[in-house]
Amino acid sequence: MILFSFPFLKMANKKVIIAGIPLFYFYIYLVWLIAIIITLLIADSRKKNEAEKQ
Amino acid sequence: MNSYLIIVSSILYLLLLFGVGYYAEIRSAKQKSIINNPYIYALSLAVYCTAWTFYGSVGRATLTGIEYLYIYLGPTVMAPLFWILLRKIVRISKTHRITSIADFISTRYGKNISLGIVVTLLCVIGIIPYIAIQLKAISSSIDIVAGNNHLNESAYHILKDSTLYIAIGLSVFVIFFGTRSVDATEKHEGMVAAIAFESIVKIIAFIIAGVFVTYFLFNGFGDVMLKASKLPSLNKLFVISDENSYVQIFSTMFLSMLAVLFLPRQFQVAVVENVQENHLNKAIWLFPLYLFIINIFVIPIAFGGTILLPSSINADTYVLALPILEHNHWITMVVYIGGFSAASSMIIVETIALSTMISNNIVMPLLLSLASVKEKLSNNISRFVINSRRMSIVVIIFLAYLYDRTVAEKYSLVSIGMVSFAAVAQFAPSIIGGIYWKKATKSAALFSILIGFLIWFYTLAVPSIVGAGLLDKSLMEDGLFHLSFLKPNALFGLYGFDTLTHGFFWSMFLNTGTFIGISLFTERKSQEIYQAEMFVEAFKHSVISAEGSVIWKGTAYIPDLKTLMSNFIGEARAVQLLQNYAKRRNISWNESGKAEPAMVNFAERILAGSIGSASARIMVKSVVKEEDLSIDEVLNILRESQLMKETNKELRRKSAELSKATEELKKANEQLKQMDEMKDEFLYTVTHELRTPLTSVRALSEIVHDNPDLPEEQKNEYLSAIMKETIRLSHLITQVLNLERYESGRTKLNYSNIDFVSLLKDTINSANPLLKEKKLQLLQELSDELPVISGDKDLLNQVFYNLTSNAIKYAKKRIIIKALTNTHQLRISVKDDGPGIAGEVHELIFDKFFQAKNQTLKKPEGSGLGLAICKRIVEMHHGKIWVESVEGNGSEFIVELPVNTI
Repeated sequence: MILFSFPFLKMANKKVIIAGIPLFYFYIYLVWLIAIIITLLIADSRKKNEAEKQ
Repeated sequence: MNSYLIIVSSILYLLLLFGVGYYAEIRSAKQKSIINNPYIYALSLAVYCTAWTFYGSVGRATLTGIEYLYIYLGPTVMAPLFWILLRKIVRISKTHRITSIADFISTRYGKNISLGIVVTLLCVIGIIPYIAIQLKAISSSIDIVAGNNHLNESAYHILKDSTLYIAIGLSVFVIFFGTRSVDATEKHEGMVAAIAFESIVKIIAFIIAGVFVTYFLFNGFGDVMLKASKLPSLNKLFVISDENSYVQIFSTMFLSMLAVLFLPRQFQVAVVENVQENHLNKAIWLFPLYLFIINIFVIPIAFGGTILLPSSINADTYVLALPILEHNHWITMVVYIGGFSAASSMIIVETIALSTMISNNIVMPLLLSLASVKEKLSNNISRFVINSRRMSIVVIIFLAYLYDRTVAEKYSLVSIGMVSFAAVAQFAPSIIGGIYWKKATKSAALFSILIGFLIWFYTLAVPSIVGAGLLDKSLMEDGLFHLSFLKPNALFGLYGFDTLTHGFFWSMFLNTGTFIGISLFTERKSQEIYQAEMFVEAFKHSVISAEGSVIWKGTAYIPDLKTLMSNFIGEARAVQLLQNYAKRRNISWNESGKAEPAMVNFAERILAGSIGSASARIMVKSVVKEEDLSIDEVLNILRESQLMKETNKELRRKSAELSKATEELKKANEQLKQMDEMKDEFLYTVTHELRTPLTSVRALSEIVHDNPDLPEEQKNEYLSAIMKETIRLSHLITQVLNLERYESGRTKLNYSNIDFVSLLKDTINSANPLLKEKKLQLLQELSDELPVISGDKDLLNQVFYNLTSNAIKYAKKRIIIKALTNTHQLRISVKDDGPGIAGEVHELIFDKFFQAKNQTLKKPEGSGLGLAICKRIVEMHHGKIWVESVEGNGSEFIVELPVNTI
C-alpha cells in the first residue's frame, strides 16, 4: 500500500520509457504483481502452518 | 450486424447460463457441490468486475490515464486483510445465519428493525443507478454492434427495445436460481456457478479484444505507446501532472477497498455464499490476480481507440468500436458477449442480495409487527416470503430500467459506479466498529449511517441529479437556500477537490465522528450487549455457545415453536431439527412440553436464516411469554459463559497434558523393557562366546597336565594353541568393554585434526603382512586433496583397519580402497571381491554378535563385534556406515563423514 502512495508515485512519475512502456505504468503494474506474489506466499505459509498444527 | 442475430445470441447465452446453473443445482442435489471449491469461490468474487470494468475502464483511461486502475488496486491492497476482516465477518454470519449486509448490521445492534430498514433503503437507492448503468451498457453495446442510432427518437418503440427483453430474461434467471428456497442462508449453487462461469467468459473476451487491438491493429505494447506519445492528449497521460490527482487516486483506492467488502453483491458472494472459511486463503491472491489480468489490456485499447477512432465515438465503447472498425464480426461478437456477461453477472447477484434485504429487513418485520396481518399469513408465510422476494426482484430490475431510460443516458459508466461505492462505504464505520468495538451502540450506528447517507446524497447524488436537468442549476452555483457554504460541491467552504473526494471526505468524516461520539455517550440495551459480545468475540464463541448462553427469561412450548418453524421449513423437517437438537444437547424431548430456553434460541436462529434476525425475533416473541432481562442479568450470563468456557479450556489443557505425560511414561517403560531384553541377550551371547575358547583352553591344559610324558613337540603345539585362545579371549573382552564404553557414552572423543591420506596409508601399511600372506592385490584410489577432519584418530584408524582386515578375510584376488570428497562429505569405501552379503542382512551385520547368532551362515571368524564397534565410532563422528553388496559379487563397505561439522 505504501508503494502506491504519493511520494513513491511521484518518484515514478517521469516521462521515461522502459521497454516501450512509460515508467509510471511499468512501475504500477510491477508493484501490483509483486503484491500479489507476496500475498500468495503469505497464504501458502499460513496453509502450511495450519497443516502442521493438525 | 443484424440486430436479431445479436438478440438471438444474447438469448442463447442466457440459456447457456441457465444450463450451467441447472447443472450446478443437479450436482448439489447429488451432494457433489461444484461451488465447494476455492477456485469457484475466487471466480465468483470477480463479480466485482462489471460492465463498468469491461467498457468503462477504457473510457476512463482515455481521460485520466492510469488513475482508473486504483479501483482495482484497492481490492488488491484489501485482499491480504480479507483473512482478518472478512474471515471474521464470515464466521459471524455463519454463526448467526446472516443473510445480507442489512441483516448483519441490524443483528449486531440488537436485531434492530429500523437499522435494517435504513441500511436496505440506502443500498437500494445507492445501487439502483449502478444496476441501471449495467442495463445501459448492454443496450448501448447492442446499439453499437447493430449500428443503430438512437438520435432519431421517433423511431424508438418500447416493444423494439432490446434492453427490456434482456431485463425480463435476467429477472427470470434471478427468480429461478435466486429464490428456490426460503432459507436465504442456503447456498444458491446454480447462481454462484453461473457467476463463476461468467467471470471466465468476460476475462477471456477482454483478453481476446486486448490481443486483437495490441497485436493486430498495432505491433505490440511499445507500438501503441509510441504512437500515443505523439498525440498531445495522450502524451500528457503518461504522467500525473495535476497535484490534485494524487488525492483523487487515494480516495478512489480507499473507496474501492471498502466497496469490495460492503457492496451487497460482494457481501453476497464473499460471505453468504461462502462454503468454507479456508477458501479465503486461495481467494486472497487469486482475486487480485484476476483483476490484474483483466486490466493488462485496458490502456492499449484506450490509447488505440483514441488514435484510430474519430472523437465523436464515446470512449466507453472503444472495446467494441475497434473490432467493428475492422469489420471483424467474430471478435465483435465475442466482446459483446463478454460485456453482456460482465453486466448480467452484476445484475444477477446484486438483485438477489437486494431482494433478500427488502423481504427480510423491510417487508417481513413491518408486516409481522401488524398483528392482524400475521394472523392471516401464518399458514403460508414461507410462500409469502418467497413471493415478496420475487416481487422485489422484478421491481428492482424495473426501477433500474426506468433509471436507465431517464437519467443514466447522460452519464459515463464510471462516475455512477463511484457514487455507488461511496454509498456503501457509509456502512464501514458501523460494521468495522461493530465487530471490533463492543461499546458501539445502536443509535450510534443508526445516526451515523443516516448522516453519512444525507451528506452522500447532497454532495454526490444531487450534483448528478442537477446535471441530468431534474433540479435547478442554481442549487449547485449558489448553494441550498442561497447559502454559499452549503454548495453541494464545496460544503462548508471546502474548495479545490474533485466532487468524489469532497463528498467522500465529508460523508465519511461526519459518519465516523457521529458513530464514535454517540457510542461514547449512549448506553446499550441488554440485547445489544449480548450481540456485541457475540460479534466482537466471534472466534471465542462457537455456534453452540451462541445458542447455549441464553439471554432470555420466560416460557415457551415446543408445539408453538414447531408450528412456527413448520411455516418455513415444513413440519417434518421442523420436528426433525428440534429432535436432533434435543438429542445433541441432552435435553429431554417431550413433544407437547415446555421448550428449554436454549431450544428457543435455536429455533430463532433457524428462522433468522429464512426471514432475517429482526423478523425472527418478532416471530419468536409472539409465541413466547417473555420477560425482559435487566442489563445486570445479561452481563452475568455473559460472564458465566465466559467463565465456563475458560474453566473448560483449562480442564481440557490439563487433561491433554496428563495424557501426554502418560504416553511419555509408557514409551520410557517400553524402552526400558527393550533395553533390558537386549542386555540379557548380550550377556547370554558374550558368555557363550567366552565359553568356547575357555573350553578349548581347559581341554588342552588338561591334556598337558594329565600326560607329563607327552612329546615335547606336541606339548609346545598345545601350549601355543592355549596362548592363541587366551589372546582371542582377552581380545574379545577388550572389545566387549570398548563397545560398552562407546554405547554408554562414557568415551570422550580425543579430537585432533586428521589427515586422511596418511591415516589410510597407515592402515594399508599395517595390513600389508596379512595381504602378502593371502597374496592379495590392493588398489588405492585416493583423491589427493582430502579435507582435514577433526576427529579421534585412534578410533577412526580402528574403523578402517577393521574394514580392511574384514575385506582381506573374504577377498579372493583384490581389495580396492577409495576416498572421495565433496564440500559436505568425505566418503571412504573398502571393496573386496569376496562372496558378498545377502541383501536381507545388510543392516543386520552391524548388530552385535550377528555372526555368532547366525552360525549356519558362516563359520565365525573374529569376535562378531567389529562392525558393531565400527558403526558406533562412525556414529559418534556424526557419520554413516553401510554396505553395498550383491551376493556372489563382492561387497563394499562405505563410510561417510561430514566435513566441517565435527
